[in-house]
Amino acid sequence: MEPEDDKSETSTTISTLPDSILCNILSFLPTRTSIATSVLSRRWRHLWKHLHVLNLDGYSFNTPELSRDHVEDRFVDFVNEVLQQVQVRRIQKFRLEGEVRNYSCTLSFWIDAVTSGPHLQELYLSLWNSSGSFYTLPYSVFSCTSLVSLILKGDIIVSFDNLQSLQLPSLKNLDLEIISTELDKLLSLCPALETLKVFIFFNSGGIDPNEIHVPRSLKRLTLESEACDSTVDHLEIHTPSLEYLDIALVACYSQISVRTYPNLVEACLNICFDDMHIDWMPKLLNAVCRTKFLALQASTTACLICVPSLEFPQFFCLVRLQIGFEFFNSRVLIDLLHCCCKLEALLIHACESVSYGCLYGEPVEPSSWTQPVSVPSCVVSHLNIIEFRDYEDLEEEHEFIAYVIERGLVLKTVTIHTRTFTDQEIKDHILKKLSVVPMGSSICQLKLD
Amino acid sequence: MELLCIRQWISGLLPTWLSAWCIKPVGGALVRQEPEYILLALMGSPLKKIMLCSSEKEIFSVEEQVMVQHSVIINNMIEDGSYNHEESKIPLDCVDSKTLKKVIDYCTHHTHHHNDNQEDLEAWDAQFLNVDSNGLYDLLMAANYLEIRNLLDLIYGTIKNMIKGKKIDEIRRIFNIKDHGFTPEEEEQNRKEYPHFY
Repeated sequence: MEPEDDKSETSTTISTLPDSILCNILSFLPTRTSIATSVLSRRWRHLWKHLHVLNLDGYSFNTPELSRDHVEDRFVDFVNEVLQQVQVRRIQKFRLEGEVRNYSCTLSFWIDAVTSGPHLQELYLSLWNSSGSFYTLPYSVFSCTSLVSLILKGDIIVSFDNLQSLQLPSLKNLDLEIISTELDKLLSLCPALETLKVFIFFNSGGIDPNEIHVPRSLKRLTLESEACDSTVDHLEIHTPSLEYLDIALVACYSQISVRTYPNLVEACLNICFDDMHIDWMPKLLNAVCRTKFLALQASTTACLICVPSLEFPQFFCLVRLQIGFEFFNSRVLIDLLHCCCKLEALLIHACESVSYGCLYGEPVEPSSWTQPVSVPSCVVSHLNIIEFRDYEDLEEEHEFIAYVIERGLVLKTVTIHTRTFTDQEIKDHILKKLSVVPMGSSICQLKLD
Repeated sequence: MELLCIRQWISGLLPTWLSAWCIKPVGGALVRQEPEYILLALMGSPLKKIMLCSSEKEIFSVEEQVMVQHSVIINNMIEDGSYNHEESKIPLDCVDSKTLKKVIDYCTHHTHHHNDNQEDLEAWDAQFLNVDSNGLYDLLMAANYLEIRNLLDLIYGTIKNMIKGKKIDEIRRIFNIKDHGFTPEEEEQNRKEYPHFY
């Protein structure tokens, strides 16, 4: 968005805004750019020195003519210069990203300086090291009582010998995507944590928790892990205030301890197929039964289908359901719909192609359609929107859509997305087939692409 | 006949109840109000309103919930009891009517549409900020004064994009900085220090 070029005398220049606001504008820019604005006009000359926010980007110093070490030296000089000119003890946000080859000690010195100030609220470090060594985070970070947000990415190690005098009482947001940490010990330092986002690199011999206990204060949890061979004994999520849950687990957890989350608004479950998960899948599903929005990835649905005599809990508050299938299974979907009395939006994704694919080398028998004994109540009274992605016009898919169109009395839109590269002829044929189905709702619109 | 009288009596008593309950046109589409609003309406209590007074002494009536959700200043005023619903209005002497109306628009839209998907909200925001520089700075000052975090972040993000990646002359033009106040020698020095910026 660009403002019009206003040449009238009544137009204000940005320089009439007060110092504090101009400084806030600068705090959104990379520090290098903020400093450069000192040449905009006299007014801007010294503004950057009052910055409370530092955004230091080591990558921006890369130039093809200079060697990596030389580039690093220039960056280190630059940061030293900046830290001398700004008031370090007033820094509120410190963000640094880059490659750390030779300057770990200097980096720790900077972090110690910045965390000693009573005002530091946000610390963001994204450090990558192609030469294979890792950066160990200094202890000063874990005794920074004013810290509200800690985000660590890359080749960083967090480890503690002992937890004495370490505490992060103000920490509300923790985001980890790093090589190694003693996760449980770190979590025990954060009694007020509200948002936790962890990506666990198991294979790198990194985060190796036998147990993970999530702080009780947590409201938002995103947990993602890579494949591993070892087992984690116990994952405990006892968080009564939980509002948002996003789990993508490939690793094997032999036990998972959950409670029903009464305040849950959104849950996304991506559990990879593994014999061990089947036992606790129903427990997990029960725990999220109060959610308003639920997203089940294809692998999770595959897990659920394998649970012997699976009974879905009642999803009393569910308004939007997004469900992926490796291969579309209408029986499971209808069973689930029977338990979602208030469902308004249903989004289906059939991920694998029956025509092209074979499951593990075996030819796939597409499951067939059986007319349900009774209509799920949400179809009749609440369902407004249906969307189906990667529709292949299999008999089961068609029958399901036709079934819902006929009985959906308040349906507003039915959107079918065919697989990419589907011929226009086939699309027309699908549209024709579905258009002749008698519609239960007078305002229903059928769209196809 | 009696039913009509009762209806008129009700609508006279609680005008906001009607508008909260109905399906109403918003920007060309029909929007159904959220269950919470319907529930409140069915319970018979009108949505609480507060009065905001611009620098030009124009009064704007707005739902309390909307402003409390967005403005830290107004939220604090209502929580600590310094605002009396029956009598007083909140004077905002540094915000003119045009800007105040836009701020109220922003807060109202974001409260009523907080369940919308991200793209729709972003598109609305982009349209909302399609104003001239004066309007933008006025909005910025108002959002800063009222401490409306998401509006502030939105405006700062927009202004940041006017600076990032641009050369000095272009930035001076965009921000209408006609006289930079440097001597020719100083400007020469500036060019040497930041060659990539020129």
